[in-house]
Amino acid sequence: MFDVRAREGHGRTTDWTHGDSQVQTPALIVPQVPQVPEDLLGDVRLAATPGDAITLVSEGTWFYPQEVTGDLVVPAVCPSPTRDVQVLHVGPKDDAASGDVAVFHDAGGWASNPMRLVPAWIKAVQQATPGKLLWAPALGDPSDYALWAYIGADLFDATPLLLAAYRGVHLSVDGPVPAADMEAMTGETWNTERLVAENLRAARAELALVRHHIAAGTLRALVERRIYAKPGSVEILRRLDREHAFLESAAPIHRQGVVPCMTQESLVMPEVERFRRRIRERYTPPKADILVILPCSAKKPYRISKSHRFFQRALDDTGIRYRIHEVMVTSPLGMVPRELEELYPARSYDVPVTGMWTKDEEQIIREQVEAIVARGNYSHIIAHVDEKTYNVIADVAKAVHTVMGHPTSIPDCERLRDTLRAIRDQGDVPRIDGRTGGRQRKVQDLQALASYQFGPEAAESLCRDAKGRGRSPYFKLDGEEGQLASTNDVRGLLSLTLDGARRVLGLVPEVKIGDFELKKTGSLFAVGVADADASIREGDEVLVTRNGELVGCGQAQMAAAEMVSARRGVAVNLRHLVKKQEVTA
Amino acid sequence: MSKTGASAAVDYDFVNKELNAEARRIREDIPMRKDPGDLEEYIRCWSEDDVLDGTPCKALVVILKTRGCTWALAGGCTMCGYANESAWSKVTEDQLVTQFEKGWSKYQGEEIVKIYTSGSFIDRHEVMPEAQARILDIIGDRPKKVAFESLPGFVTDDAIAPIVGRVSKMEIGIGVESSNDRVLRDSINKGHPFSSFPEAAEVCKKHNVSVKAYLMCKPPFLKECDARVDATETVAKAAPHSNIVSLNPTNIQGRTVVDALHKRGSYRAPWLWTLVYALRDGRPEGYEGIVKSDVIAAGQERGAHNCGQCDERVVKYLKKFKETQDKAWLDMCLDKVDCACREEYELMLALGPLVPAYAGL
Repeated sequence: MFDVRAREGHGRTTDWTHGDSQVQTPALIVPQVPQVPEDLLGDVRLAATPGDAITLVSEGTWFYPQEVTGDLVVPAVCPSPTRDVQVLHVGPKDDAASGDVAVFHDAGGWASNPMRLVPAWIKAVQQATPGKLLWAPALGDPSDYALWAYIGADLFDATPLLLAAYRGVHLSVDGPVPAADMEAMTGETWNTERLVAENLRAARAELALVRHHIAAGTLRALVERRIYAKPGSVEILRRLDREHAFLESAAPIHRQGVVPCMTQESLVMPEVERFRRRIRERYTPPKADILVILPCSAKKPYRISKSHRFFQRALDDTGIRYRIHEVMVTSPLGMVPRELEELYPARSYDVPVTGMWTKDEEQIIREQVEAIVARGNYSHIIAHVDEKTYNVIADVAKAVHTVMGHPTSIPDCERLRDTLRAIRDQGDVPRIDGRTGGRQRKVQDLQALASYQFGPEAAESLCRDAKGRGRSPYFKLDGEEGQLASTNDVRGLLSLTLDGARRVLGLVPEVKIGDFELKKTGSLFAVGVADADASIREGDEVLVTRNGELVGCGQAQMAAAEMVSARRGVAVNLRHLVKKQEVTA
Repeated sequence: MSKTGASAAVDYDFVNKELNAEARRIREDIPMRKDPGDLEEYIRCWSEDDVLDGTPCKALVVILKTRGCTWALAGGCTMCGYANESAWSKVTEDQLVTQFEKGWSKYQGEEIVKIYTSGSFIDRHEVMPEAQARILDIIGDRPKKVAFESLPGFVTDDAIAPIVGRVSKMEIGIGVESSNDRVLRDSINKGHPFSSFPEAAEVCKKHNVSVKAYLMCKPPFLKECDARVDATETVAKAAPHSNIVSLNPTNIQGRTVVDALHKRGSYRAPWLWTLVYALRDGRPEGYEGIVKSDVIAAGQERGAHNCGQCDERVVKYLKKFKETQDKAWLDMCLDKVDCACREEYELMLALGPLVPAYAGL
């Protein structure tokens, strides 16, 4: 039995309880062989007979099996020729599928070729998890535990650590170090015995760190640092990032904390790639005819930064704020519209600022600018960015450049203001008073946000004849029937009311439950989920339905695949429940 | 029981369909299937050193280009690369005899003549009975021994009786591989159980044909720990039926299941230590025949190897044992070759039964 404490990507840290023992995963399994001293065996073992700690009992090999007992039996199975992924169930002999552990048989063999590993790994993870702890035998060392954990491994065994020790190699987080080099560095003896102890110690320390980073939500950043220990690791992460769907399926829609974006790999991490794709594929800009492109700021959300307060003042001084759509140029997200700046990952990414764009970043920015320009209906585009950035976008957006020195300088901010005033004074758009314009615009901004969050159809349905009120980040959306949705400072996404939910029923992902009444506990548990829209991710706003009828709405706490298969844990935090008589009425 | 063709060689209870399909798929790329070349040319022919009744002598080896092993054409064994040297198309009686005549022209009085095909010399679909007879008649009784190879299923009275008197002495090499039927089916896909071997050996004995048993050390999916047990048991069980027992470490040949596994990182050729232990522990006490292991590509990635430091020395001891049949040489090898890799080897033996992986194990 295991309870998930925290997740990141396909990685998770769990409390795994078996009999009287409990361990936290990701964990190290140590084979009980004469070469490992008793005091180094640890809490999870692999042996031929059951023992005190959590012990996986191996049935031996297919060709020379052994009679064993226990409720964590590793079965000996007939080997399969070259290309098939085999996932074994570790459990009681008569009911192996009821056990906690699944084994990606010969994962170590697959891992020797990253190109073949990636599709095999995806297959193994899909067969094994989320219902099981996944053990990747003979795979992993301190330099790549973070990577394997991030893509779904929960258990590792000490085989590579022991073999390295017997080959005179210390395995560190930075890769293998020959014993002779360790001796030169430390002035001490590094014999086989010590290498065994040190390799096990290094492995346990790294797994503790991996668990810490999963809990802290910073595992991806650890992975991006660790993969540079060997080309194979980089290759696997890059291939999986390019695959996108696999990593995206486990990437939350919302989370707290900072997302460090420091490396080349950060440019395509799943949350970032998904943000950009949504901008290109489903986001519909508000009805504004002037696009103002602004630089990003280190402080998030941008609006609280000093530079953006300057820009706001300049824009306010035009009297046509309601006609202006602000979009920030940034890496790695490309372009962040003002009305999306409060949501993850726009509100929480942290990127080194050098003022120079790499070719990849330039390409990303151009793609995103092109998409926004194509989807909006702008008659004027103003680029209030430095010259380097202007040059990047000049060929995809025909823009007036308003910066001669620095974007925050007084003359440049005045130039921005004056340029906008001049547009206003052309008089080709009839002026309305700022308050009325602002009110109309508020609902359009919320519709743009809804288009990013739910897609354009649901956005239109939700915002039809509705009114917006409030100030960033606390907006409310009202319909004739009552309040429909609101935003807050925590997640920057729309939280639906039941009235809002009714408007988008059929257009927003649903979690279907069986024929039972939801109690007023505020939580829908995974065990109660009958089916869930495959697109649901942790943090998503979801509707809960029974036989096609709305029974509530709330925020998903896990991705669809896990909701459907897991037997433990909260699937949805319910915000609103339809009262019983309402449903029957 | 009357069986003909493939059915004589294959017992379908001992066919692993999945492995067989994989072996067949891998063999689809064999170049000779597109271009078998001149069907009147043999594959190779050379003269080599050998031993006959304890005395060094010469042997002429001719490898014929036949249509191929009946079993390999249908998929076949997971480690066998000889299908790469088969014509994969009909080779007539006359062509086979012409091939042999070309090889025979190099005969310089060698005491032994070995006729190899990539399958079975006495498989009537591979080498027609008339071709067998004509080739053996060409050889006549000048050489002291004529050796060829066959699957055990083809070794029948019907096949042996017509050819046995044509040369002075015959020896048939039979691919026994393992005494464990599970290994024969799920590792090698051999197509027959171990019991076919004693039956075939009985036929040989009746016709005064000597028997050489080929055993396989560490076929695919066996870990080092399995290989050591399997090879030891098989040496012990095959010896009583054989005049010579040859324990062959699997070497990684192109376009085989073993090759594909090796490329995937899931196969390591056997350690030389395993051969030493298996010969020492498997050879029955008081056995009068010869037990040996000739290591092809010793010390190389694709052949049996240790750590690279001690390989040559271990191979020397194996040779001494082959020549003397004295186990003291094997004990001495374990005692004198005090290499650090033995500890790594022992660790692998200990990990093997526990860890569900083949990589490096």
